[in-house]
Order: sequence, then structure tokens, then C-alpha cells
Amino acid sequence: MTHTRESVRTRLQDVFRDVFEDDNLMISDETTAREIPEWDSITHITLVVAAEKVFSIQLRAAEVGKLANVGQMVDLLLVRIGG
Amino acid sequence: MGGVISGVYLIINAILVLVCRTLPPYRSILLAIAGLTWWSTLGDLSSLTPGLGLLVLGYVGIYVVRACPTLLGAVVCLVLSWFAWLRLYPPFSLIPHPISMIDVGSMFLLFRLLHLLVESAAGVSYPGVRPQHILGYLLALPAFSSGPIQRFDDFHQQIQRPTPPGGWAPALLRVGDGYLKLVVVSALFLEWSQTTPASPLGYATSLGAYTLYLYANFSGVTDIAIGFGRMVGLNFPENFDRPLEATNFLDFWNRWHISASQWCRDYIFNPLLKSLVSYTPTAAYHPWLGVLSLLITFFLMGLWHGPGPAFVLYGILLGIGAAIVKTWQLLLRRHLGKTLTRSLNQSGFYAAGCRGLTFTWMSLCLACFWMDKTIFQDLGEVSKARDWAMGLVMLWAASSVILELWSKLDPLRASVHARMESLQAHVVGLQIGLACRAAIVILFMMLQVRPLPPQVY
Repeated sequence: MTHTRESVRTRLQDVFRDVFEDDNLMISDETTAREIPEWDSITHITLVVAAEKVFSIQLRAAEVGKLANVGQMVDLLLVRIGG
Repeated sequence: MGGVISGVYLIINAILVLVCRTLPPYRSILLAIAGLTWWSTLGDLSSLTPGLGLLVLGYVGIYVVRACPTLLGAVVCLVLSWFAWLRLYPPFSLIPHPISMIDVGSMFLLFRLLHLLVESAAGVSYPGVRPQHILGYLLALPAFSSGPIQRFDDFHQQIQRPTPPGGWAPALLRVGDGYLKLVVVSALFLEWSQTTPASPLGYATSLGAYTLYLYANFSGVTDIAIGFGRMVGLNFPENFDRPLEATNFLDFWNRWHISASQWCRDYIFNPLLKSLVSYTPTAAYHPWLGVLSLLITFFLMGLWHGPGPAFVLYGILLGIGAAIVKTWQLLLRRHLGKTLTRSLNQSGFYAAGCRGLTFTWMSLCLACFWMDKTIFQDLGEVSKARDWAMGLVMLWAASSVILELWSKLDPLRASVHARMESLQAHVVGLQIGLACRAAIVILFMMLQVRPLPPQVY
């Protein structure tokens, strides 16, 4: 199965909506924790673990700390799922 | 003194800059040689051998875990044990050791080694990496003793690029600012913190002045490292971002000693919380697992500063501060909802009080570094305990007001700073700027207005 950037971001958006309990939440590559006040160091890890389950991959704890925005998270996911 | 205030440190850095500018392809090995040379001036071979042992052990370990990642745990344990022996942590302190081991830089060397060990075991590749790059990274003189803690991928990318021409002016001014903060400002605050009467006001002054001393001292050392780093074409990460304007303890640690905070986030907090969350399917527990992870991470960060009850207490206070803030945030969100919580956080009065409380709590944590054991006897007496409590309340009230006013002056300070930068961009302005900084520092040292403060490691 080929994964496009768009498809990964769409699936990631569902993860965000689930974690932040907000069905109207919209994300873009530029979205950062500043725009989502509930996105803190704890929910960041909850997001990562939820994304791991959805995409059936494993991310290293050390590398997820560097992610500055949604775009970087999508990039990392694309690398891991071989998109 | 052997710290960055010493002439030896300045001379070796000056030679390093000149040679690196002349022979840019050899910067890695030159950085390592400079680091080792400065290290060797701190003591004799026997006192330096344990520190060198840590370096050799970690360096060999990097190649071992790269070849066999399953040995990561064993190698990390070995490196941590050696570090614990070098820094005299019990029970490792019972193992015989040379008299007065030199452990300068070992705290930061440990973080760099653990970072490389974990990344190497994970198979992260750095195209074109050579042994001298790793040694240069581990021993880079400007940041060797007190950071900032750069990541190897940043270092490796920068060391492979040619040194950008020019850029001397901001780098020299940064070094000048660093010495001004370290020699003058921190000395004044240190003396102020030590010459206060035993009264509520005196306790409040001591607590606050010591925090400001440490801020001036540590950020000064960082400025010097960053300035010299830029001269050799390295951009060390910033370590401070207006920490006194933080409105909670977690925000404070996002702005204070940033490189160490981020290291602890990536190599302690994230792995710990990720493991806990992975094994706990009930999402409602995740925030509380986060609180527990913060408590443990901050406790370990406190303990990293040194052995003994003072550092244990420091770690406990850091952990409690972080856990309380996160718990408060969770409770607010649960009981007030997202919208009301946002409104409350944006309220000026609430933010000012939180800013003062953050400064007061951090000052209380740092008191572990300077208070002696008599404090516990003092607190046993009702009148002394009351005085201390009043001192803390006074510090909270005063710092809330002062820091609120200080934050209001942000635009003015920014415009003055921009104006100064534009003036110092010209050769004459630069020379005047440097001469002023040098004159104040040298006069201060020559006249011995205040004794030179110790450098914070």
C-alpha cells in the first residue's frame, strides 16, 4: 500500500481528534503545540503511542522529542511506514 | 582558579580560534586537543585519570553498542557506575580513588556520552563520521565544562561545513557580555545573598539574590561558550530564554538550562512515559502517569548535580514543583474546562502571581546549594520557622510585582538592544562596546571590588 503525505496527515488528524477529544480539530503541517494549548509533553507521548498503534510502527522516544510541528511528525511517519 | 575566568582558558580558546580559522578541515581534532590541553592544566595525571577513564570507557562503548546494540544496557550501567565513582556517589564512593579526583566537565561529558550511546545502539547513521568528529564533540573546549549540551547530529553537520567568514563582532560581544555577567553581576548578587540579616526580609533577599547570582553566573558562562563556539564555526544551542518571565515551574525549565532540560525530556521523561503509557490501555490514567514521570525525571535531574543530601533534597523539591504544576493544570482543565482555563492563564493578575510563585519555588530549590544544616535546627523553633515562612511570602509578593514590571519593559529592552546592536555593527562601535566591557571587568578584578565568584559547573 502506498502512503501519501495527505493520507498520513488525514489519519494523523483522527489521532489528534481522539487524543484531544475534539471532533472539529483541524491540523496542518504548520500546526504546533502553541496552537493547541492541551498539547503538552504528556499528551505528546499519548499522541505518539496512539500514532504507533494506528500506523503499526515503533518510534524511538529520543526522536519524538525533536518534533517541532505536525509536518515533522508526518515526515517521520512517512519514513517509518515507507511511504 | 581553573574555570572560564582563568587566563589559561582564554589563551587556549584564543589559540584554538586562530588555528581553527587557519586550518578549518582539522577543527574536530583541534577542538579535542584544546579540550584535553585545558583539562590537563587542572591537575596532575593521577587526579585526571578517572575523568579520562570515563571518556575512554564511553568512547569505546559507542563502538561496542554500534556493533552489538543489545549490550546498550550493560555499557550504560558501566558508564553510569564509573561516573558515580568519579563524582563520589554512594556506594561507589567506597571504592578507593586517587586523592582529589578532577571531575570538571564530567557531568556534561556523561550527557554527551549517553546521547551517543543511545543513538549508536539505535543504528542512527551519520554519513562521513570519523573518530576525530566524536572526540571533537565530546571534548569541544568552549562548551566542555558547563555546556550547552549540543546534539551530535548538529555538531557533525556544522563541523563538515566551512567556517562562515566574518561574524567576529557578535561573537566577541557575546564573550564580553558573558565575562561581564560572570565577573561583575554574579559577584554582586552573590555578596548580596550572603550579607543579609536573620529576618524575614533578610531570608527573602538571600533566596532571591542567590537565584539571580546563579542566573548571571551560568548564563554568563553559556554566553562565553556560545561566543567562542561561533568563532570556530559552531552554533551551540541557546541555554536560556528569559526564564524569570516563566509563569509556571515547567515553563521555567523550558527556558532555564534548556539543553539539559531537553536532554532529560528525550532520554528520561519520554522513554519512561512512553513505556508506562504503552502498558496502560486506560487513557484516563495517562495524565497521572505523566505526573509520575515528571516527578522521577526532575528528581534524577537534581541528583545529577551531585551526591549528598543537599542534591537529593534539591531533586525532591524540583520533582514536587513539576508534579504540582502539572496536577494543577490537569485539575483546572477538568473543573474549569478548556475555555475558562485559557482565560485564567491569560489574566494579568493571575500570571503575575504565578510568575512570582515560580521564582520563589526555584529560589527555595536552589537554597539546597547554599544553606547549611542549621536550617533544620532553625525550622525546629517556631519563631524561626515563622520568619522563614514570612520570608517566602515576602519573596513571592515582591517577585510577582518586580517580574511583572520587568516583563512590561520587554519592548523597551528589545528596542535598546536592537539600537546597541546596530551601533556595534560598525567597527568603531564594536571597539567601543568591547573596550567598555573589558574595562569594567578588568577594573572590577583589579580593584577587587568584590571577590571573584566561583564558576557554576
